[in-house]
Amino acid sequence: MWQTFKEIARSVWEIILDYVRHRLFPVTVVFVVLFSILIHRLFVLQIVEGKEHLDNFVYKSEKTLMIDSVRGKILDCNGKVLAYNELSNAATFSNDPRMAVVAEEHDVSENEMKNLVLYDAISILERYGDTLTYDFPIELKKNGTYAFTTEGTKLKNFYKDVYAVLDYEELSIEQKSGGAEGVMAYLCDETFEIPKEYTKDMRLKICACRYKLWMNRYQQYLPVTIAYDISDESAAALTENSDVLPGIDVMTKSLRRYNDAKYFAHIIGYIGGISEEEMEEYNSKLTDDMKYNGAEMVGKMGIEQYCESDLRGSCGSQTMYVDNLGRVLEVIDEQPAKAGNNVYLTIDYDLQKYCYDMLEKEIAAIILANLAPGNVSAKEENAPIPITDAYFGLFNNNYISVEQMGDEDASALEKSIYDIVTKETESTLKRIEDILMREHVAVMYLDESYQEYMQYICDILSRNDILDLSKLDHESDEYLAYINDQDSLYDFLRYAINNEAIDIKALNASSDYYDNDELYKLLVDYALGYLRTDKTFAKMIVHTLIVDGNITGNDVVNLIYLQNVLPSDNDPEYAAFMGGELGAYEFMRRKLEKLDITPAMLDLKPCSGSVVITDVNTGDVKALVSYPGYDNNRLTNEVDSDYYNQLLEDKTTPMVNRATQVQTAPGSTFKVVSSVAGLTEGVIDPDTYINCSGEFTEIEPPPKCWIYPSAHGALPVAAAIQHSCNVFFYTVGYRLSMTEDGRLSDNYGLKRLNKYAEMFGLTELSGVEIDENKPQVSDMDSVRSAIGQGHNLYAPVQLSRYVTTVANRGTCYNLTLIDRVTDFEDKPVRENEAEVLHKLTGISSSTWNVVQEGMRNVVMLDTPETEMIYRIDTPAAGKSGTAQQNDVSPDHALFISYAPYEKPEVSVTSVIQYGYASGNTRELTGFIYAYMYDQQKLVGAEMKADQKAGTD
Amino acid sequence: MFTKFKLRDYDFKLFVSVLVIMIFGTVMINSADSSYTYKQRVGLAMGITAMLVVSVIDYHFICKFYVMIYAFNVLIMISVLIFGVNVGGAKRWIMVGGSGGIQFQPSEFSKICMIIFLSALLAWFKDKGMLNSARCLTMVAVSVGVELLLIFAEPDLSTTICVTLILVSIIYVAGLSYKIIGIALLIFVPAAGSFLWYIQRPDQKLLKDYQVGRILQFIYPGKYGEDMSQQNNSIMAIGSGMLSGKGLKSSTIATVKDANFISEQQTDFIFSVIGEELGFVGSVLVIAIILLIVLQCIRIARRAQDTQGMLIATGVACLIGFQSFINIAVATGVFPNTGIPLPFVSYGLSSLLSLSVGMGLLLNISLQKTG
Repeated sequence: MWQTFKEIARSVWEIILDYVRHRLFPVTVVFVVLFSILIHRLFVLQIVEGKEHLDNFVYKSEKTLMIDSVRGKILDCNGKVLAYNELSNAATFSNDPRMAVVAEEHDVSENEMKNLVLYDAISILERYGDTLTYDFPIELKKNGTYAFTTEGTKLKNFYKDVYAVLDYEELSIEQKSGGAEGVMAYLCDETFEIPKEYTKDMRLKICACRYKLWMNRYQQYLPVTIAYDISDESAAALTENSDVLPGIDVMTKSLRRYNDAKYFAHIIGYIGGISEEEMEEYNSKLTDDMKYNGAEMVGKMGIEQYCESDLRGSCGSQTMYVDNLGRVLEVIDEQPAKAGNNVYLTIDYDLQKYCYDMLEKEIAAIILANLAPGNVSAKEENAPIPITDAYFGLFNNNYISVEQMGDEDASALEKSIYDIVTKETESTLKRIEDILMREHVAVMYLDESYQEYMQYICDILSRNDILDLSKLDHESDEYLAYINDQDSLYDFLRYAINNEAIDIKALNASSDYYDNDELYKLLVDYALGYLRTDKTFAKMIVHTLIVDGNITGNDVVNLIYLQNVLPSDNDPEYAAFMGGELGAYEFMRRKLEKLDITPAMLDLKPCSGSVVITDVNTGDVKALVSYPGYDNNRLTNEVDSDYYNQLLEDKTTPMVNRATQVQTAPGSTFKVVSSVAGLTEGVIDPDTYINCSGEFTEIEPPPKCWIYPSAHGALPVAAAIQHSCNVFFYTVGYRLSMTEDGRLSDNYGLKRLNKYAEMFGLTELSGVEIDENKPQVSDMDSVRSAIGQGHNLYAPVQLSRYVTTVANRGTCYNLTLIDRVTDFEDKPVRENEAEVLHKLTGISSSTWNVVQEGMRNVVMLDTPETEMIYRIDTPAAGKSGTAQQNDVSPDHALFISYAPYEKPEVSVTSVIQYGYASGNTRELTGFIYAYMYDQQKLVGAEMKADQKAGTD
Repeated sequence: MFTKFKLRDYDFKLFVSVLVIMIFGTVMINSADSSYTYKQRVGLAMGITAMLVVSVIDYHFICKFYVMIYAFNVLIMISVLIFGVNVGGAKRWIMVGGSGGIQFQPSEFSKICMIIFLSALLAWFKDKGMLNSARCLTMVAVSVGVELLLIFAEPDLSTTICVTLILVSIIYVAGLSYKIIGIALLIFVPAAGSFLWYIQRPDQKLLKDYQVGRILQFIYPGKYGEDMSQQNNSIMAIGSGMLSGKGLKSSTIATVKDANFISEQQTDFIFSVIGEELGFVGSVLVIAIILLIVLQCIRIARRAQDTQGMLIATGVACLIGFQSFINIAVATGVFPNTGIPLPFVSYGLSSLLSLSVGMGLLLNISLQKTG
């Protein structure tokens, strides 16, 4: 038994041994081991790390895309479309996964590949005349250097973004002082590796596009737009080449468009990409599903900004799985976009347009009425405008460019003028150096142009923090002598040096120790160096040349056509000018008459104005015109930076809303407030007669009536309004300032006037839903304040609320521009009505009667019968105002009014800055009433603007 | 040549195993990219036919032509270098019937040819007791060297390594003395070391850049990691399958496969589809079936009637074993990325057909087994 077992055991052992000894045994073991390794590996991957891999995959393949909502329209009160959306092609750039594949094919890094792709894409876009749109604060100057286009906090933020630091102070000195060239070198060479062989222009463009995408680096799948509204040719070419242009896509974008932009730009504003700050502000108030994303557009100004929440609608989103090429595999969640609401304004499209056009015509007419041949610009109030100012205006307002005359392809005339300017600049600088270093002539003995240069040098030094005027004693003899032009600039600067009012550090001085002579020399060198490259100085030189006749009117007319300010085709005036039938002066007049050359182009005084029309029974603003306008189409979506810079450099500041942001003294229009104050406070009654002897002798120095040295004689309040008698209202102001114990108190008078100004809404913003500057009620000289002088400053829209309150006898509205809001299918969402700020209760109807009568008489009795406002069927009431700005400029012209007199419907407020005489705004107002009530009278009517010096 | 065989000796177990894995492969290819399903089904039918036909041909008869087989093998391997289709810098395919015709990969057939040739050659020497003779070693070295050089020249590094492993295994099983093996190792290990050193030199001429890249990438994954995406995505796919996978043709959740993160998934990365869709369970099952086939092949080798049969069976076992291991090791990131198909499963008619022929041979060897 045992034996058998042993034998069996041995044979089993032998079989095992036999099996193991066979060379196939190690092979078997190897395979079992190898396959065990695989199973272990799979266990680790799928069981141990499985969840992680799954999450990683979902993260990699799940994408959420925002679907833009369609912004609501903005329409006028009658449903005419002012702002709408248009579909257009846009070229976008994104971090495409294919970039890596294509880069490998080209044997370059992904970073380099992006540059190659952009180079090709930009070349295609430019071939078909499309321009890139980016908001990159660096430009390439004509001299081939990079320069920043921004400054201050914005520039610091840009630095922070570029060098990816949290605080500007973390930057090294080299980084801070490198300027635009340093930033470009860092971005192009280190961050983006843009080839050095490319032109500086191309490097800038590629860098700007790369930067835009780079700023998006935490939302990589979001494409950035590199060119809006591209041509069909570009779109086709980019699409055809999409296999070699990974990341470049053509997308359909909704673009904001504005009809008749210049008329409505100030009201509507524009939209643009949302900024970090805006996003923070809006999103803090929004629920998660409504939050803005960084690619969204947002209203930046005007109604677009004010009605953002209505217009925006809500973005939709699409969550989906995408493959390695970004192709959509499966949409797992979809939130449809909701179109924004439409906003109907109270503005009447046709009326707004008419008012703008007529305002422009009126301003042109004023210029024509005051334009005179010759070059003398008299330094006095309401002096004629010399034609040379008009010529110079074209240079000063950048329509004619001296810089362009230096180009190689410039015409012979341009080149010769360029030479003249260059020579004049050199000789002027030489002469200035002589004056400052050797002659030390008192300013008053210098030519007028050199007086200006000296003043300008002083400005430069103080503007650049080199000269600190506050450190000088303004009562000292030296200071006063210089201010009165009795000293030379040399003396003055030496005086400043002696009084340590010069900051040596700002001069980039190489040493800290200079004696006074050296320091003075340093100042002069600085000033001369500054002037040499300064645009303003260059324009001063041109001005001198024009005034002296070295650049003639004929030259200017030729330049208008050489530099394509006007097209020469089919231009009868140009033909007549070339034929010798028309001189330069007459040419300019004709062009202004035809508005081929507009007042806005010439930057003369006047060049701007405003009209505000309000429904006196509702507080709805029917027209809110600001001249000059601008094209908000070019600022919306993406800012056209060339145009934006042009607007910023435009001397007429078109982006400033004249109706809400520019304030002037109200002049005599304020007399209605004084009347109501006087009557209600009981210092006069409707039958009180006050004698005007031409001046008001109760105070010293005695203020005069406009009629001085003549006199109005005894007048009651209605007639005083009608004739705009100053003495009457000085008296009212004087009486209002009499305290109960018989003292004369300016403050008491001002307080009482202020109370009535507040009643008419003149102390607060008018209520319109756009940017507005706060009005200022006079805080000095109650007697003069009563005729609208003193420190009174109001914007036209504020005067409009005031006259509306007069017209409706005491309902002071918070004016509004918004009529109603509807949804995208035009179903009503809500109506909007102007709130009533307050009702004036303490004013008797006899007071209303008498001031309204006075205003009616202004039109009925005090206006020439030839004037439109007199001729129209509908009776109007109004009050003119002329506000003096200073001794050397034309006065501001104002006219407030309402109609019909018996049953008021609308008020019209017209203001023309530097409009010479209030009669001019009265003429404009007449045309506007005729347009609204009596259009037949407009047939053949012309604007004359022949009212000279003020009658009030 | 057609000897009478008894049907009850037929190794149905192996046949069924192979059939199961082949059909499974077709299912997975259908799941990966259904546009390849039809061709693979045709290949499957041809493969089964070839396997059945070869299984009834006496392998001794085939082995008689081993010199001719070798010559034919060398000829097509040279012709692929001359007439081959250039894909991504490598010539591995020949178009039969001009462009648009059938594409086949000689190196796949070459593996079977070499197994037959080397087995027959070694058996011949072994029968004469001259296995460890200088003459035998020289002949083996020359014939194998020529073959490897030709595959290497395509260039196809991974197949070269794979074929080397197979042929070395055959030589080992044939009974090469451990003394010679020791000497060979003494030469090979330093040689491999210096090879690795050399290829990292910037001006090396031995390997193409992408081959160096792949080797270096494996040695230093961080530094040369740029080409890893294919493999990383494969790992992510397999890993995300977790225990039971996302299911065949699943649509409730998108898969790496659907996301096309891995290109040409039906060929060398078919295992990523298996791992993702069938999970750990499915993957282990596939590995188990393949291991079962390998072990059955080894069993046939043991029981083979003669040395020739044993060596052929060993060769085929190694072919399936090594190739499967390398393929799955690549898909799971154990090995650097290299293009080796998964036997029976990956799409590719050349591979399927040559494996079928191999299995036919084995079935025949099994038919003639001793005891």
